[in-house]
Formats: sequence, C-alpha cells, structure tokens
Amino acid sequence: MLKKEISDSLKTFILCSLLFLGVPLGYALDKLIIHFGWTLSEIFNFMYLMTLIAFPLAAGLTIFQWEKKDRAFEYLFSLPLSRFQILMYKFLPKLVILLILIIASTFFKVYVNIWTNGFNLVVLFLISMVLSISFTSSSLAVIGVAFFFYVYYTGSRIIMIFTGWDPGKSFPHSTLTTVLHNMLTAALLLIPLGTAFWLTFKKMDVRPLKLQMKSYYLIVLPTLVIFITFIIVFFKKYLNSMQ
Amino acid sequence: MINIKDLSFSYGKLKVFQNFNLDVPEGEVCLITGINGVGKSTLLRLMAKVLRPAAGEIVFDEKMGQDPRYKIGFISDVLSLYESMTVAQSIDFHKSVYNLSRFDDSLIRHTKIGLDQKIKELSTGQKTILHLSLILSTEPEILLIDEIIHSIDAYLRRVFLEQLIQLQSERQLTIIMVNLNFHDIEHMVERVILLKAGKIAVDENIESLKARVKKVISAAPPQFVPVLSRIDFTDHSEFFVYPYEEKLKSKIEGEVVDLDLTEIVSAFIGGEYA
Repeated sequence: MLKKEISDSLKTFILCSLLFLGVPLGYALDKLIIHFGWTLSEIFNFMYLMTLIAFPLAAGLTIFQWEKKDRAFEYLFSLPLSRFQILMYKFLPKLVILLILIIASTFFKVYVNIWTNGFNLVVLFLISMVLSISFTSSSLAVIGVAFFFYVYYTGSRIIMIFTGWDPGKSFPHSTLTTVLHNMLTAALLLIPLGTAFWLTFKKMDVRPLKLQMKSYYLIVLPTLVIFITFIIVFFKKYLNSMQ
Repeated sequence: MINIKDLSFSYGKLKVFQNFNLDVPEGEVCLITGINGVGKSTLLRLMAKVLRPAAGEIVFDEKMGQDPRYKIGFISDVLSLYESMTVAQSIDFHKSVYNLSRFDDSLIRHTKIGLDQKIKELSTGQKTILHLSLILSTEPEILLIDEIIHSIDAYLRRVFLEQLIQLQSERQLTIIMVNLNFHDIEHMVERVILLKAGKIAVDENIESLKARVKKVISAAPPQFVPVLSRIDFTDHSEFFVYPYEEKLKSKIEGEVVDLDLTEIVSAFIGGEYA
C-alpha cells in the first residue's frame, strides 16, 4: 500500500509542479509585453512559493481522492488494515515530500523565514487533510481551507498580542517565539479538528458520508465559533498592531 | 463459523436490522434472498466489516484470527476496486497488503485479461474474475458474494462457478451468496435464508424447502395449506403453497407440482408484493 501512496503523492507533486511552466511564460510575458524587469530567478522563486502552497493544499484535500473517484472505499475497508495504518500510509509520503520541498526552498529566496513559513505550510497540509472528508466540491474545499488557515494565522497573531509580544518589533530575531505561538495556535485549532477527523475516520464505513459526519461537525463547528469569537473580540488590537 | 448476535443497523432513520440473529456453520453454502431493499447486501457488508453495526456483534470462529478480514473474501455488487490501477498494479497492491509471495494469475490469463489493462477498461465479468482471483490468492475461509453472477456472460459465469465448486469441494469453504437468479447455483446451495422486513422469514435446508413449497394448479385456492402467492390465468390459477406436507396431497384439489429454487424464491417474493 505504501508503494501506491508514494506514487499517488508523487503524482500530486508533479501536478503541482506544472506551475513551474509559469517561469518561461512569465519571463516571455515580461520581455514581450509588460516590461516589469522580472528576472528568471524572481519568477522561479515566485513559482516555487506557489508550488509550496499548492502542494500541501492539494495533498491534504486529495488524501482520499482515489477512494472517492474509484468508489474503492468498500475494497479498502475490506482489506485487513487498521484505520491508523491506512491513515499513516496516506499521510507520511505526502508529509515527507512537503518537508523535502520546504528544506529545498532554503536554496532559493522563496520566503524570509523557513521555520515559521515551513511550519505554516505543514499546518496548511494538516488543515486540508482534516477538512478533506467534509467537502464534496473541490472549489468549496479550497475556500474552506483558506478560511480555516486565515483563522489559524490571525488567531496566532492575536495570541502573540494577547501574550504581550509585538511581532512587528522583534521580528526577525524571535523566530522561536513566533514558531512557539504558531504551534500553540495550531494545537488549539488542530487538536479538536484532528480529533474530529480521526473519530470520524476510525468509525467510517461505506454508508453515505453525510450519515457519518455528526460527531465531526459537533467538534469542528464549536471550535470554529470559539476561534472566530476570539478573533472578533481582539481584532481591533490586531489591526492596530499591523499598522 | 459466523455468529451474528442481536445485530442492529440503520441508514440514518431507516432501520434495516433490529436484534437480528444468524448462525452460519463452517463449510456451508448459504443463499440469502428477499425483495429489493430488504437488506441482503447490507447483511453481507456487515459480515465483510465494511459496514459497522449500531449494536450487537458478528463473531467469527477463532481460527479466523484477530482480524477476520484476512480470511474473508468479499465481492460486492458494485465491484469495488481501484479502477485507475492496471490489473498488474492491482495484483501488486493486493499482494503487498496480504504479504503474499506469489499470485496465481491463471484465471486472469484464461479469461484474456491483460495485465497492463486498466481496471476501468474491463467488462463487469472480467472485473468479477479479477476480483475473484485477488480474493482466492489469500486463501479465504469465508466467501461473501453479492448479486453479481447474473451480470456476467455465460462463459465467465461458468468459469466463476467452476472455481467456486472446486474450492468448496477441496477446502470446505463457507460461502454466503446474495442472489435473485438461481439457475446456475442451485446445485451448490445447501441452505436458503429469506429476509423479510429485517428478519429471517424462512431459513431452511434446500431439500426441506423443495419438499415444503409446492405449486397447486387448480381453479380455486387449495384448502388445508397456506398460500404464499398466486398467478391467475384465464381458465385456472397457480397457487404457491407453504408449508406443504405430503399427507395433504390427497386432500388438495388440483395438481401438485414440484418447484426449482428459482420458482420457490419467486413464490416467496411474490407473496411479499401481494
């Protein structure tokens, strides 16, 4: 099964890598029409960043892609594999590819801080994965993930302000503090979301999915409400800190 | 071999089984039948552990090990496989999950299935044969076969059934089939279970069933024996009766006719719709 999942993960990566076709296209566009003076390396870095965002999103959301597309859940669940084994086989190859991509990005000026941004990309992957079972439409799923990621990102900024630390002033020297705040926010968001996902997947069978999502929504929706309430209460403070 | 105790299951608000009990001994070939939507496939899926009961349990013989799925071969009516894979990839995948060192692909070759063909390109019959090959490679103790035999062509059906008969005689497999078309499997079946409203309405050995279900051809409904269903013609009617006893023959007006399995099940199902 691991072989299949590695192959599926690589297919997802190759699909996301098609964004690199934008490098020669962007360069030609700049030279022939818009004349912004983009260099090849600038365009490459931008496309690498896009790939870095696209891969965790696609890898997370398509974790059960083939089971849904091929209607193979029945076959998969009839195999003598525990739900934990199935999840690990699906999760680990995608995580490894993502980590390789993040580490490889240190060779290029893709973003300023690998630790904070790398961590955020892993969080994006995890959010995409835990939301994957709740959406049937991929465009809605992307919007859903973007919304949850915004909640995570804003939440972590507000927690920073809440704990009396100003990210604007101490950056870039306090990577550890930023990562710790991000980890705290990710834990607060992903522990309930991950629990909801795991409890649903652990008991999942071949009944229509909508009949099996009760416990999932019972955990996910209150978590979201708490986070949004937290953000609304402290949003003004957050905006002030951004200025 | 399989002991179902107080099983309850529902699809949302639709209750399919409530406190359902069934015992299938080792080596028995059992046929489950009933009208559409009565829960035949659901019962098979519960035994295959791809559905989870809301209450109750399905207990397997100790020799099935900790995870009975290692020893259960399940072919569902939707023929669930990874359709995007090629036949060879599918075999590799199955081998890796079950840690098999070898795979006997003679059945696949015999039915002209190419190893490089994608599963989605195969016909229903070829998919069934592939699925059967995958399942048999794991040497199962229990075979659960959903209503699939009638959707494959005559040749592949013969190949499929010959395999089953051979295995049954060699290894005393427990086979549970869901079917509405019985001509091909009649000689294999030992026990017939008819489901009605989530309960077992009839559970009999096939010989006993053949002795107790008869067709009476007469102008008026026969007395002394309950009528399951009837078919009316212009000059006479056919009455399907159960439970019939031989000693009643002299008391019944009209001709008493023996039935084959298809007619017996049709009689019961006809009664459900009446």
